[in-house]
Amino acid sequence: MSGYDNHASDSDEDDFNPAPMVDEDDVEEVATNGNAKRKPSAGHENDDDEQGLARTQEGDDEEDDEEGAGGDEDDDDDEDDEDDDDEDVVQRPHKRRKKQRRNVFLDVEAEVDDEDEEEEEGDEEGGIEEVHPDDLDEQAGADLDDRRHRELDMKRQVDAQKDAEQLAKELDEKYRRREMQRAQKAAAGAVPLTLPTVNDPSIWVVRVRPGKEREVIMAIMKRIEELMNARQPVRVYSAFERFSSVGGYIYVEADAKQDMVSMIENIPNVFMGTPQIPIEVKERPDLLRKRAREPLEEGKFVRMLKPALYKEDLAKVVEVHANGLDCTVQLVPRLDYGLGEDANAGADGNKRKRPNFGRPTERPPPKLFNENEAKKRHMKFLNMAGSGGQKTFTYKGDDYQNGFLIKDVKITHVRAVDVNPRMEEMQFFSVTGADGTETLDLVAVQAAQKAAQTGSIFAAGDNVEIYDGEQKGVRGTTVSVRGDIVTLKVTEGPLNGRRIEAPVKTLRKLFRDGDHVKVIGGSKYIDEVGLVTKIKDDKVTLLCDSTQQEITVFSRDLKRAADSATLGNDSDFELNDLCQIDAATVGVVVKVDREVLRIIDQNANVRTLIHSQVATVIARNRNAVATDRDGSEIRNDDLVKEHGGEGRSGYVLHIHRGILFVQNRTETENNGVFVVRSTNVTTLAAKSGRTQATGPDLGKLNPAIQQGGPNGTAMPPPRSMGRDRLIGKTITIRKGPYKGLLGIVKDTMGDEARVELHTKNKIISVKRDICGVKDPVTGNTMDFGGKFPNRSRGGFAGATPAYNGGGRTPAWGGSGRSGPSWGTPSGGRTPGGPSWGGGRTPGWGGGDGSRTAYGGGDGSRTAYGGDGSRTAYGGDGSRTAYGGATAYGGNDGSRTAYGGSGGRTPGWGSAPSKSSAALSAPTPGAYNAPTPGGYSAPTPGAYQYSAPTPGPVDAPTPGNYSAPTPGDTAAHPTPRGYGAYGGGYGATPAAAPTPGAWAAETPYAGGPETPAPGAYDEDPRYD
Amino acid sequence: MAYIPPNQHRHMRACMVCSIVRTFQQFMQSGCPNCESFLELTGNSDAISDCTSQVFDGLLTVSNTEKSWVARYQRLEGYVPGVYAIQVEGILPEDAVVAAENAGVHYIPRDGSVSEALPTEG
Repeated sequence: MSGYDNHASDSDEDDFNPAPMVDEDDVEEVATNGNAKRKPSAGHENDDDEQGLARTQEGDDEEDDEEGAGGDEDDDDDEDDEDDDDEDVVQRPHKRRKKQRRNVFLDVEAEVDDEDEEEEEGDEEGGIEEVHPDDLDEQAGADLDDRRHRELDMKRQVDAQKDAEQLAKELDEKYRRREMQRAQKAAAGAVPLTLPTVNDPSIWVVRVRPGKEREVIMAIMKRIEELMNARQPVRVYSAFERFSSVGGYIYVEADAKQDMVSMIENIPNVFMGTPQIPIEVKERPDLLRKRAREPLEEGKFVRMLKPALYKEDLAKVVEVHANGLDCTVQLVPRLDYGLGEDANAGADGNKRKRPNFGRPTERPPPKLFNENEAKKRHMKFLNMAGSGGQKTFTYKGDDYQNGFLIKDVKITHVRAVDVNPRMEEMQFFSVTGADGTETLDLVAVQAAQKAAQTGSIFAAGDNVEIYDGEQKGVRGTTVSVRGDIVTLKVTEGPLNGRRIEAPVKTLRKLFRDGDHVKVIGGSKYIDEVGLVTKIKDDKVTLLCDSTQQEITVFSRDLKRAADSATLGNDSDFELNDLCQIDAATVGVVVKVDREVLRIIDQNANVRTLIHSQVATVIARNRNAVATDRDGSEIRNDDLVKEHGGEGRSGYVLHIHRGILFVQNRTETENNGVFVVRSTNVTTLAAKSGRTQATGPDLGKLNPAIQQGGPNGTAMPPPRSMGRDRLIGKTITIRKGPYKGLLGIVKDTMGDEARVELHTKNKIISVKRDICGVKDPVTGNTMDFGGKFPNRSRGGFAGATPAYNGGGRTPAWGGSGRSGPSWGTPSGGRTPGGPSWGGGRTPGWGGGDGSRTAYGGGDGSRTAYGGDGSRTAYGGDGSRTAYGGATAYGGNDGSRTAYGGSGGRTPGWGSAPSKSSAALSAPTPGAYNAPTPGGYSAPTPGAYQYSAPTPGPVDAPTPGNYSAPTPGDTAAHPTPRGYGAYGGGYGATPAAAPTPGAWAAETPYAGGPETPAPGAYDEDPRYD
Repeated sequence: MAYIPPNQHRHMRACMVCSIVRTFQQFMQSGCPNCESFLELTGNSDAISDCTSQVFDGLLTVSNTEKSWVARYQRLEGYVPGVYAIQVEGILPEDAVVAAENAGVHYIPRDGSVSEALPTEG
């Protein structure tokens, strides 16, 4: 302050004799008109700008001895003034000499009468004071002519563009500035910066290679030095770059363009191709504008810029070092603890090969420091100090505390603006309280979000209070918000009713206890709604409606709310989205919280994950298709029913591989979503009138009627593999406008074929089922067995004659035989099952059905036993396969259910190992034995199954009837069912669904069996 | 020699008082050509790290600190020709500020924190 006072006193002194001061400097220097102008301006300065004048004087003192006593004035008082005078006295002659020299020079070049000109010359002289007079003359003689002309031209050009008034003003200003400039020496400091004038050297912008600005500047420096050493005039005064704001340009200051060009010519990385553009005078100061760095404060959150490993990571400033250049930050380390190390690296740590150069390598994810992880591989790098909660580690030269990396970085390596911390980043920095609850450091959050304070947080009707400034304490209601200015209507006090405006930063929102408020931003509680329970300063505690917890937020983040909470609407994830959790796991979102998702994955595990742990949402695939246990196709939104288990039903949300995510809205657990295998469900209803079996086609089910395949619905969905065989065939069109025309199939799409007609050079689309394939040579109709429609219609029969020709192999014979076994279940199904699935399910599924069959027909069983089919089995080459079946028997036996009918089990078990004869033998026996015991027991429980069941039907005898039913109930029949299937399996495609059930229960199901039923290969469901 | 080869650019530091840019070694050898009298940087690495800053923006080469408007605007008048920084971050230690003031140098931070605009004319 004393310095300032001092300036005041100086200027007082100046006021006494302003004229002399001017005189002593400039009397000789300037023509009279200049003097006249200067006087008023000097006075002017005294009014506004005492400091400037003070400097002016000081500058005089310091002009020649910068480190001299001149600076003392700043600190000391009146005695200095005396000093000043002395110094002035001392200096005057010196200055005069200088000026004189200038004037001498002026006289020589007197032909140019413009003062500016003269002024500039003078300056130049001053600039190269040290140069020997001879040199001076030389320079003047050699260069001045040409240059001065150019200057003059330039000036005229500029002047021509201005009117006289402006010119006068400029001159005025210029002289004032000049004066100060001359007085001002760098060391003098606090002189207001001088704005450029037209008489200052021009500045050109020069294009250079981006990133090479500094090198270019240095190259220019080098040239300047060379010129100076060679005692040649340097006509470029300065050159600079502002890389941080505008890359790819440098700026060169010179009097003439030619000077500038000759300086930058042939400097590498300078683009001479693009023209150099002079910078407008008024824009020049912008080039040198300094941008104050956002100040760093402790506790503030910043983003890392360097090192690359932590680029864009959130960090918290722990300490700002005294020099203001470094700071200590706390950040979440990204360590791989040596996992990614090259095992072949040399002992000296040199990698044999550079890790992918230029490409960013995958960074380890941010995780808090884990001592154990570090110990695993890098014990040698790990040191620890301290104990308990304050343990610090030194690992590979970095310090870790509380799991955080404590790092000293340059302030240029962090960014304090646009931090926008995200919730999942912030959670690392949350403070764990004594009671184990995690709370965020509100102060830190506030610091991070300080900049976000805008008018947008106020809405009309908010109750606000001015808490800062003159109108502190005024309360009112906001009326409107415009930018950062809020208009409020005062509701209390003397100003009541008045409308006043206040800047946003002086306002805070006002709430009362019991207000129903909503969090509208700023904290992790966004969108919570609750009742205000406590208000302290600008912190408001509210009781959340949704969680019944008390949370504390800033009042500015609140607004009065009438609505209830709607949480998590800013999440990337929506309820029921299918998400990729990791490479092998997908799941459906069943709950979206602000920070966490609850996801039921494909294994029906429910996981709780934070948003960032979930990779992506998998778009719902409209074309996804799966097959149910009957082979019917399942698409999204179909109504399916789980087979077995809890028998849940619901609509298909997503199909992922063989997994269905099904939703039943009547259930609450997991939002009603459950996971089933597609082969464990039956389709109840297809969404859109897609062709779907509406019920069992009895005719097809009856083996007596349907020779080969039991039913169509069990067929695999038609599909063509590889190239369509129709392509390239010559066909005739059998129907429609093109009927009878001959053509060649060029392409097929679905059920359409693109046919190139022979008659016309035209390609048309026709349904492929109206194409009759012809032999191109003979013109005869050819049977095109593989034709799409054929397959779907004829089912196996068409596709695989093997089926029909039961004779093919004994095993297949079995299929015929299986007829009966089939017959049984299907028969049972038929009457019993009002719903197709239901009926069949028991039959096929756990083997219940089969059980039923058996149970139902003891007689049938007998038939079975006695059945040639069985025999066939025995004799069958597929016996081996049967052996597989045996394995089933074994399994079944092992299955508890089966245990009930223990007797049977052994029977079966032995059967396989034995010959067919053996098989047939045990069969009846086995059955008989279990029948009473096993069957009766389970009866009640599983009745539902049995109800629809075949039992009644196929059991021709009432007596049997009752008996088998229970059998069905019992789960045990399974083995038998198996056995039966074993027979009927390969043979009957109807058995197809079974595998599904098997797959679930006995993984190897496919294995042993496969060989026997060649039919499997045909059936995609088994794949 | 004010020229600094590109491979030394990473060692460049700027004097917080006069903003001249040199490498650490240069400061060690010959100090700051403008401020040596009071900063006394030569051979004093602590003083160098305190009074010079690696954090600066804008490189400016000046051949004539009197004539150049840029130099005047940067308050470089009277300094030696050479390479200067336009903006220098860092906080000069208090004792260095005092030393500068005693030497008659009014220290104005060059980090953009002080408004240097010309006072508005009333």
